[in-house]
Amino acid sequence: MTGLVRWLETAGRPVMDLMEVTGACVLLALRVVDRLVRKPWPWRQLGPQVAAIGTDSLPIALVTALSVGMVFTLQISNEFQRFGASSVIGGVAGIALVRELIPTLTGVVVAGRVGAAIAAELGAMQVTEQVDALTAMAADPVRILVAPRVLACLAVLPMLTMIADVVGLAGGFGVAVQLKGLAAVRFLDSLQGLVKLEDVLKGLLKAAWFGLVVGVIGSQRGLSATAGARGVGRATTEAVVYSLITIFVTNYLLSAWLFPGGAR
Amino acid sequence: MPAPRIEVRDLSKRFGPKVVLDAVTCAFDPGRIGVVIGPSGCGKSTLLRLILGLVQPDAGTILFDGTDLGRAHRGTWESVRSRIGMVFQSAALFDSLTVAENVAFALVERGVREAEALARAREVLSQVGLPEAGPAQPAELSGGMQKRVAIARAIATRPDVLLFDEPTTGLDPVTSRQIEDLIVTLSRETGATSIVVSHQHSTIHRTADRITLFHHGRILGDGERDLLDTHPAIRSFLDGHTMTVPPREGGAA
Repeated sequence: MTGLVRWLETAGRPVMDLMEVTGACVLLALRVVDRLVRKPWPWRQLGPQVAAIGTDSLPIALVTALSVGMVFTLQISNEFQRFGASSVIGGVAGIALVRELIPTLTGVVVAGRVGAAIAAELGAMQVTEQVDALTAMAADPVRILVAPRVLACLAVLPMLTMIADVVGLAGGFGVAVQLKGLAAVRFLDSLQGLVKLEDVLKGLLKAAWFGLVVGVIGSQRGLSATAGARGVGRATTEAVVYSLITIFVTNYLLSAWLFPGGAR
Repeated sequence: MPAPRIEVRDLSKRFGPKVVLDAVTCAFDPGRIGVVIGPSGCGKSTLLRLILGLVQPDAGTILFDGTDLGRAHRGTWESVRSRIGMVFQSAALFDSLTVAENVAFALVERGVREAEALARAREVLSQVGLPEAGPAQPAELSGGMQKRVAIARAIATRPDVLLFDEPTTGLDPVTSRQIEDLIVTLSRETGATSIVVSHQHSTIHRTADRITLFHHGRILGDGERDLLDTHPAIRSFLDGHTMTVPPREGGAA
């Protein structure tokens, strides 16, 4: 009996930890919202954060988008040409890229690049008492540190995704036309016929959600850092892992909600 | 006799199983320097963090000019904190800002124009003997200089209360002496209530108007500075002897 209780305790601890972190992230997100409806607003720090997060993430996001656009188009071109379905290559690649692959992979890239940086920066501030110093000076750390980072992630991820959509589709177009011999007009006709503006906008909406996830989880783990350099390292790793898990889980739910299927 | 600026009554705090403060009662008067001493981990720094609301007490009351901070809402806390200047043990300077921006930070937060805040920053940096340090980054300064910048930051807003958490720990004797002189001078010039947490001999002897000895979360001695010479437990601590806690009424030690 004691063994069973101990096993249940051990097995249940990760679940409890997960619920605790989830609750803390929701509370932090609500505190950010609360800061947005009260003066002073956190706009002063927002510009530099948008610039930093955008420029930090742009190169890796574009390389990822180009790679996935090229590889995905290469694979479907091989198969579709075999079955005589070359006319839909552009549209299928477009749908897969703008609805799923590019928003999700841009979210993943930003989680690794920016989520880790936010957690490390805020974690270092936490363990060196800088966050306490802000509170001691009657300055709200959520307004000064968290809100600008969360809002910047929320704004930057759709922007990056929009640029990445273009680069990914260009990569796919290049592979289909230059390597697989598909006529440019067939690729573009198919793309135009199957991919709607709505698909692009829903992909950007998903990207905005991923931005919120990365900003909130990165900030929450950073502010929870304890025990010096080791604690900051752990917070950074957790920020990336938790962000990735949340992105992958919620991506399915969002896709099921935004793209329920049916006649197009 | 003026009413105490800060009064702590039956304050208790535990972190997990560890009791850090056990029904502590003490008071700090306006314009005087109260030095809180005791071995590491005895609850001295926690007392400062409780006064600032950085951690919440499990039981007891903290009164700031008669206001019960346990019942304070967000606005009251902001107003109380704006009257306190805190010097953290690690200095806790914002490493993304210059020294001058660090010192001016609280003023800018309170709506003072940036040029005016930076002028005040230059003034207080001169007061702590660092008139040229404004453009530097905190990481470029020595530990003693960082502590002095932290003091400048704490006094920039002309607070009514100054809290010093181990202001001279880890510093050489010359720098320690400069900082001790600074604490005394600032206290006399500004009339602020100062609470200095320390276990450094020279800091205790050179700054204390009043002395409070903490041990295992309890107060073993509390009174005027002459206790430094007369109180057995305080003398024992300052002489480096192991202290034994006398048994508590109705309970084990």
